Amino acid sequence: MREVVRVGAQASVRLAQLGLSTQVIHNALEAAAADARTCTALDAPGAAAYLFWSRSNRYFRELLIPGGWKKSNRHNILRTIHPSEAFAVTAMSASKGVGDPSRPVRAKNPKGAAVAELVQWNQQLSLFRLEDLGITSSEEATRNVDDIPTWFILYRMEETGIAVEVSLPVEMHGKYVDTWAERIMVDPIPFGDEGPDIDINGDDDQGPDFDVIYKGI
Amino acid sequence: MFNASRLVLARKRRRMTLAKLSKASNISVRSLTAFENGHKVPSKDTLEALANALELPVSFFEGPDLAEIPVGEASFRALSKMSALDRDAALSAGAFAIALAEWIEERFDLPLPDVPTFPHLNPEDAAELLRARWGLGEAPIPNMIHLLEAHGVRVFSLAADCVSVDAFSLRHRGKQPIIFLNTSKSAERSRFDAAHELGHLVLHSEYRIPHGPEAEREAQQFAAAFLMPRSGLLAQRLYNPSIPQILKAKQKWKVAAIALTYRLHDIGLMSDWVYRTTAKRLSQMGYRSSEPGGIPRETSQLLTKVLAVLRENGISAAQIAKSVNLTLDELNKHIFGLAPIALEGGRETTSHARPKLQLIHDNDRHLGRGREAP
Repeated sequence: MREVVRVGAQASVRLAQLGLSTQVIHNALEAAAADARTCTALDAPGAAAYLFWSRSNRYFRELLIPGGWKKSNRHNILRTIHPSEAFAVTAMSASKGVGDPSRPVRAKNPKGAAVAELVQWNQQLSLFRLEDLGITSSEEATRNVDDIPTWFILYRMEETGIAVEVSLPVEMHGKYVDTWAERIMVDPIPFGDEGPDIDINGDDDQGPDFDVIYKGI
Repeated sequence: MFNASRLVLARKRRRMTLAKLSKASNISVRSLTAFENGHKVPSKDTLEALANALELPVSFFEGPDLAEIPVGEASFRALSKMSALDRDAALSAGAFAIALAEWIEERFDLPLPDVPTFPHLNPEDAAELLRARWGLGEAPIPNMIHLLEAHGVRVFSLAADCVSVDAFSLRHRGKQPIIFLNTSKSAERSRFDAAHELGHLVLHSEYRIPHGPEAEREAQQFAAAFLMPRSGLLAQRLYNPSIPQILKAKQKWKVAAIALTYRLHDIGLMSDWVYRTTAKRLSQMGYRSSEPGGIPRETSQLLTKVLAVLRENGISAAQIAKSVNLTLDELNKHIFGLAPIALEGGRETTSHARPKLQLIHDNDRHLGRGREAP
């Protein structure tokens, strides 16, 4: 299957069709990263990664549910379901290459039967109406969560920040999800981003100066 | 000549009931009541006992009437939650500071009051107009106390034993704006308090002098708008900023991280969700109760210059205290954290830590010479 890759303005438009935005994705992942940073070497091994996964899905839900999205934890897949019930999204960690349209990407950890079934179902749906995914009318939408496609919000902690993309998985090789019908590139979240340059120099300025004149009394 | 009103003021200043003063001075409540009502005049020994119990020089009780601050004239936060003792202690401390201000005023030409009143405007518009009137543009305010003093506001420290009051302000005799600040708070919070009190002076005057939660909310909104003008924040493109962005921007505006977060949410630059998670995280990082990596404390340019000129002219802080019939310790309480503090031996410090001063009860205790604790 030919992989569709969307970048730049095309990516923004596609995200909007899915009811998502770079801002929402950044907000949720930044908040999850801040939580994960509270883990120390005295936590359980893998605690930070687990916390990031749990919290990123939680924060997506916190941001999206007020807009009518729903949630499902069926098969321990933390899905957040679009208000139309036409598709769901779930955040999970990915390997190198995430957010880079020139490189292949795969989900980081091996997956079990539930994810394999989900991916297979995505594939079947994509054979018939790829362009319709995510924009189905609400009349068609009352479905079992297993009957709708699930997009992956793939993230990876890089040295300089968090790389991210939103992709529709359609195939696995072995236990790894590594084939996508569509990949939507999202701007990475740089670490230590202090935003637009803020000039904090000029601290010598102590405001207005004035005289006090002694009358000599 | 004994001044009964000064005894009442001194007792309130020390947060004492008649019963408590009676116990501290070994003078009956009946006699104290008679002294306060002006029906009886204390003997020399009795007056000394009162002075001792109230930690003031005997001369204090022989001065002219002090300008008492009517309760309705001062803007207090959470007045309804404040005990009468706390309120009266703060107002009495204010009267002491006003005596000092008047003493300075007689000897110096100082900036004249220039604080307009905009009772007809909402807090946001009033803050914007005042910025325009004072020529501040949309830039951060480098030093709130210097700005206030340059526009004729007198700023004093709220005595340490009155800090539960936070801060308060008034227009003395309807004209002279005076602000009392709690100088033991973080510099950022102290700046916000100063801007809050400026809000009361600007908004709550003339025909419109509200008290209670509404007035406090308006003063808070004024302070936020005055310190963090909307246009200035918009120019920085602080849309749903991350924590590092907030921590950098707060240095520029010299405000508390929580205050900046609240302001960004208030003017629509931060969504509800980002506001909630950011406020929670800042709280976890310790920014709710303090200001890690905060700015240096602002001090009073006016008091510093006045004390320096007096010192050059051979007038020590102890002599000033004597002139206004206070102990040096009491005088220090009203300028603490704002101007150099006189210590024994002529040394002066602007230490941010409150010095451990104690009165020396010897023959010249009425000079109230302070010394550093070992």
